[in-house]
Amino acid sequence: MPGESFKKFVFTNNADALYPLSVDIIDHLKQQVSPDEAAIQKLRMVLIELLTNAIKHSGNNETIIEVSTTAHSINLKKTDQGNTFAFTTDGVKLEWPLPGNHHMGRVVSIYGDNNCTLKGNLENNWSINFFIEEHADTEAMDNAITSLPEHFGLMIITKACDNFTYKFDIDTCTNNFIATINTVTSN
Amino acid sequence: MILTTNTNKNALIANVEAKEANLTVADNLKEELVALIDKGNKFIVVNFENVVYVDSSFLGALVSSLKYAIANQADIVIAGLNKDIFALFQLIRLDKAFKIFTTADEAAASKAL
Repeated sequence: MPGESFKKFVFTNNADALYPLSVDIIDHLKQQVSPDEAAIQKLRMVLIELLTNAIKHSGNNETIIEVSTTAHSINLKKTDQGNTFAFTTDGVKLEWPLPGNHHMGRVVSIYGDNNCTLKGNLENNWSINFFIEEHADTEAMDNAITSLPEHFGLMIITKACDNFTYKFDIDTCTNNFIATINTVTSN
Repeated sequence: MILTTNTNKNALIANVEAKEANLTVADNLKEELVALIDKGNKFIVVNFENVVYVDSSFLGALVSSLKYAIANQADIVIAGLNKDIFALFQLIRLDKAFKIFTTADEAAASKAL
């Protein structure tokens, strides 16, 4: 099918390899689907944050970046066997895979500021789909700086992507972050 | 040291010397900016003109430093962003938290007015 491609890249979780790998992946995508400048800018942001996340959380194991394209989208899948995804919401630590079925369908807040909140839809025990909830009524930023978060990685990826999901694969015990950027805008 | 400094009018220009402003230098940025504020500098221009990209860790350190500056009646402004880094600031609305200037000279001139 036109536009369809797949290639696997290996990241050694070494900071020195971060930028060169992001350039290699973008060069590969330029050859496959000729993304426009806006899509390339988003790809750079997403790749840098996915690889930064790998350095922080994947331990000594290598990280696999699968890059695939369709006629309408670019998909980046980061897979590792490091620490599973975890965060604290409303004083409760959620760690994947989630125990029990009672979380399914819940929407949880991860972090945010006066402008927006990064939230996640708990699709099932294994996956969470990230989204941004914008706040209509924002305070003056002068008063809001002290409440700004100091962690932006997931928010950057969620905002730069059209879809961003984490899935824990129980069979392979791997963490999978999957980011999709649409290359064709639907009306 | 990832910052080199020089004065320009009433501003202290702090030039980020790392081309890759990522998690390997984020702690250094915070420590060095805090030290500059502790020395009494009230208007610091963080100049990114040598920086190719920034990651979320570096941005977190920058925000943390801004909070420290405000608590100490100081200010940190930004200059020299390339178009990708400026777009990143806009994406997460840090362009509302920081005053952003095209060049360090322009930022220094704003303080001199």
